[in-house]
Amino acid sequence: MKITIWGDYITKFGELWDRSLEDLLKEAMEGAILEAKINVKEIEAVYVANMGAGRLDNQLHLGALASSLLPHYPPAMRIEGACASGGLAVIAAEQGLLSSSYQTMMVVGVEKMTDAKTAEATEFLAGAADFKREYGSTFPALYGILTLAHMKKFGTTRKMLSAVSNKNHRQAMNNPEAQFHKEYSIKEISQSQLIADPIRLLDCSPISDGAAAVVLTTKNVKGPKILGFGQGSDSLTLADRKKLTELGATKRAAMGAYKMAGISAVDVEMAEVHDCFSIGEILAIEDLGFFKKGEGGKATLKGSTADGGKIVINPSGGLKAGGHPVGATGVKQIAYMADLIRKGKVNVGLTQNVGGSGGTAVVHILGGGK
Amino acid sequence: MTINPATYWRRNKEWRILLGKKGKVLFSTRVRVATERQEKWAPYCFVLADIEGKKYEMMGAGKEELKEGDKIVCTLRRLSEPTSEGLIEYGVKAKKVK
Amino acid sequence: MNESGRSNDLTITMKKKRAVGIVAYGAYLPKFLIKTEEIAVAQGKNNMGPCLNVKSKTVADVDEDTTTIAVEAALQAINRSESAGAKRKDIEALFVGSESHPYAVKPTGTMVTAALGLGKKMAMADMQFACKAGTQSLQVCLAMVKAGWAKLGLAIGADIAQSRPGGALEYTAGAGGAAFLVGEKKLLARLLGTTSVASDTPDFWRRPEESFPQHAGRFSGNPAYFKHSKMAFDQMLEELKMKPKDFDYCVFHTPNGKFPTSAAKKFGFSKEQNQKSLLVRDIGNLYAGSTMVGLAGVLDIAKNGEKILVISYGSGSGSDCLAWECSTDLESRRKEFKNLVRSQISKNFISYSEYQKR
Repeated sequence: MKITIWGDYITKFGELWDRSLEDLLKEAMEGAILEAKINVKEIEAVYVANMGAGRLDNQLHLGALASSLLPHYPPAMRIEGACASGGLAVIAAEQGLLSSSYQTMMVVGVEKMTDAKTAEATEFLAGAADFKREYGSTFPALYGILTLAHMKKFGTTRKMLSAVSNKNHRQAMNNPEAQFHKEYSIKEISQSQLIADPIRLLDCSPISDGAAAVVLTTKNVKGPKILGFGQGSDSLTLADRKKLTELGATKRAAMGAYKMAGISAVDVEMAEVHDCFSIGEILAIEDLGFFKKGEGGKATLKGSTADGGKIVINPSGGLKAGGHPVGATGVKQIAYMADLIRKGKVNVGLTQNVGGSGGTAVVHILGGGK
Repeated sequence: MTINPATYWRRNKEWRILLGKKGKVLFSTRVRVATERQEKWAPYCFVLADIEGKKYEMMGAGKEELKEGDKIVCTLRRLSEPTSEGLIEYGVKAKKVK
Repeated sequence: MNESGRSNDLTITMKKKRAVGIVAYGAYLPKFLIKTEEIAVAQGKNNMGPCLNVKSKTVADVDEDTTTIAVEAALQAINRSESAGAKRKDIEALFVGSESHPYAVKPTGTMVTAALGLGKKMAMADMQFACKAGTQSLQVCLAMVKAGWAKLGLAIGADIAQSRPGGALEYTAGAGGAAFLVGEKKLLARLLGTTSVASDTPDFWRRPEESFPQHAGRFSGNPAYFKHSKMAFDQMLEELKMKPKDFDYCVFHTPNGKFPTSAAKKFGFSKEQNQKSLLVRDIGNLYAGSTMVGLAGVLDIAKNGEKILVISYGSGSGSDCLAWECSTDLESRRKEFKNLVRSQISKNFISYSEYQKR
């Protein structure tokens, strides 16, 4: 049984004052159905990925909300795994499809975060950590510790971290839906305001609104295929990790995905990875097997992860420049890669979506299919 | 935002476990943009520490600057700025010792 | 020997048999200080520091409060008592005296008992009587132990003294506290006697909704501080049949650096007896923690067998007097004590703008 991405849609990501959570859901769902050129009633179930609507909008029961946007009220549910909500919702749909429970499903990831004050949003995001055992932490603080560990063990430098952001902002210029269309020099990034030492403002993905949807089917249709997927978990807290210089969850998810797809890291041409903070991308390209452990920073600085390099990482601009509406990101990564495949720009692509400081990771491998 | 009584009551049994115990800072980051609860206290440090062989994550006491390798002792401090009516959240933080 | 003489002997013998006193003590001073000259510059007025004889005062950190100060002092006392074989679960009375209890209803002692992991059997309440709330807690704990109702008692005086920015009190209102573990055995200092006085003398007060206290200016001198301290002092010396010269140290309440020196002179103490206990010049007035920290500071330097007279004062008004005799174990046990009071007076001076944030 092969899973095809029949249609997909990504909304603009950014500070979208005039769009509500519901508006974004509607736009993404309708857009994906339109691209698939199918009758809406073909959608047999809808899975919604979202982290914060319960807290920021006081809106839970998003499955029912999304289902109500379709005339036939298909079965629906909401899936949450912090920033990996999107990837997890796609995995849940894949399980629904492969178990033959459904033939065609929609997965939509959505987040409306920019209405909240910064301090409120910071606290909401901190919920992806262990609220008791990591009390007083913020997301930048946890990734700050991961950055310090990587710098200490492998000599990763400030310049290497800045190279991630610099590349992603440059690449986002080609993505009309990206939140930012502005480039930053390595120097500007290295001197931007400190958030949680050594993480600086321009290392951090933004707070964003946005949605992305994909229509997945096991029917025999043309379109990009899901060749494999994998999911990994690790301790919620950093204190309980075996190593701070890798995300074990990513490694385990990648292993599962490569095995299912019957390929290995060298076969991947492009990847959308989880650069919630610069170190996130450096860890990802090492843990996914594209570069040796410890060499991710060097490789980025050298240009090995940009157009013309060994592998293109985050052609959409990633989370940093593309935007990171938490629940939408995992779905957007898959939608973006599917589009690149459809346009003939890539044959084998990979997406990596992480929850929290690495408690959850989801990897998907997509390929051009006939 | 304030802690609810049952949560406070379950957690206050944990203070005595760490209070007074000594350890070492493994990694420390200075949090400059904080959540609402600690907004008034930024910048403060957040550390991963080794305390008697086990790893813990906790806030540094006050606005103290903690660095990798610093010797610390666990001390009781307020965990957040209380509201005028709510319960006061206390908990364990890392204080530098000479 | 006549009837009264015989009964005197009996009283003294009984008092010696039911000896009660300090098993261990601890003190805590926050590590920030601000100079009075810095406060003067911020206030834009003449520096009152010199006339108050105060150079600096302690400042609590942003996340410290009376509870956390009380816990630090108590932990030090408990750690020091372990060498005397004292057990935490034998602490059956816990009284905290302060003018800055975090709750108007919910004793500071409840957080202290949770933090220290003390037992279920516990007599507890918060005390308030301005700056004598600490010594009143101490007197109550001593009474509970003497009555046989508590094996050990823990008395704490701790405060983050409040003062209106721009006012005179701002020069002296400091932060800190001390804790005394009292019992019957393995004493560092034995209680010779204690007595108290109280009257309605409104020299200083605070209504519940108000953040800062009201101060009655010069009225707080003779009718209040000096009168009540003298009454308690006279009562105590008469009961004990002792004289000022019988004591090696006197510890007065320190609202500033002038009053205790003046009182010592008026009451017949020498400069030497008083000066060694004065920490106020560097740490300011710790309100309910003042006399308690003062006593701790004296125990840090006293020799075996020396006698200490503590005369605290609480506005509103009242005074507690406690007389002590240091045991023969004091010097040897003290050798293991770390972080004595004077070593906690840091040189970490902060600016007025940093002080305002705390």
